[in-house]
Amino acid sequence: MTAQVQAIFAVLQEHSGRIIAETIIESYQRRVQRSADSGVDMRPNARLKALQHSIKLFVAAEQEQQKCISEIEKLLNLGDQANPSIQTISRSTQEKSLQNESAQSEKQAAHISSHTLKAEEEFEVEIQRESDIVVARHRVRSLCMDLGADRLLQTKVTTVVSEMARNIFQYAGRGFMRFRLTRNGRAALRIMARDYGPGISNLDVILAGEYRSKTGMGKGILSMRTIMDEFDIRSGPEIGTEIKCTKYMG
Amino acid sequence: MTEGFKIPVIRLYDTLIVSIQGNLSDALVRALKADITAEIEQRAAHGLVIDVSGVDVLDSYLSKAIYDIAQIAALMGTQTVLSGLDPMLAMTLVEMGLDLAGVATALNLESALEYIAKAASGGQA
Repeated sequence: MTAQVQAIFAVLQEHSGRIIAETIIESYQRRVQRSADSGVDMRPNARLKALQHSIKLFVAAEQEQQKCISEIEKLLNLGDQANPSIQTISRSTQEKSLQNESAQSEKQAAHISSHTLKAEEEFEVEIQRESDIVVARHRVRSLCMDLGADRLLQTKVTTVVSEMARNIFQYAGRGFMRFRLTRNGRAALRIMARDYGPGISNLDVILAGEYRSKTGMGKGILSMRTIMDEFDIRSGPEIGTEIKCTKYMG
Repeated sequence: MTEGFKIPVIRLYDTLIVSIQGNLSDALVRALKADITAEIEQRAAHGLVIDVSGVDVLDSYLSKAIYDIAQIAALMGTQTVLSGLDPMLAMTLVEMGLDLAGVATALNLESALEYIAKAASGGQA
């Protein structure tokens, strides 16, 4: 299974980049695991369907979607690992991707193939284009699901992340977000949003709830603070903006 | 930067229907405002239904876009009704203190159309 998952990851990465490939593979592995936990080994058809669903959701270009799906179809239909031809296909796809990757990516591929849940995981999403807001939303929703959050909690946290990513894109043009999962003791999702933009003036007025802005930025920050369990923001023309917040799950 | 597609504004007799699906980029929002204005200008509409059952996240950006569209429509004599809002989204909006001030809402498309029909006939002096 590991070799197959790695091969699928390589195909996804080739067509849609690392972040989306990770998102899709994680979701896929969770489904396969859930199925295995309830005693059902997901058949290749069901696996393909699961992947197809995610690919259609996360891969933007339809052309890429189709290419991905047909390549993965080939990987899955040769379901038996003992079959020498599938060994060749997986190995060559792996070799091709590993050749061009740095050691860090190899480590990540290994991480993805393991089924053990790590106590801490960290992910980063760069915000440079408007479409990155969507990437951040998908990533955090996936992480919330991973931590067992129900749909309402997923929605709340995803909305907060959407606000943050949108602010970064709109006011600073560029920045990044970091998500950290902790599973030790109380499950928590820590979120950091950072940009080196102009900063927010009147921050204290906004946090006191007294600012009425035309742009609505003040409302957005207050609304984030309401949802998150812990919330800290530093901002100014010299430092840009940094938000650190935490949501406890379950 | 356009996606090469835009949100269609569908006319059903005197009502316009718009179905927002997924994420609205800046470009899509601008195009939508222009298209709705053009439709209303061409042939007056009693109502505009914005259906959001295809929306998974309703943040302040999308809320503002909807609010703006409702304002524009109102200025042109058209009543806007929001329909299909997911309960999770409604709860999130309330908790976050974001509101769609003044935008009428209905549970689904049918209720939205009934609302508009009533408002239209009620408005006749």
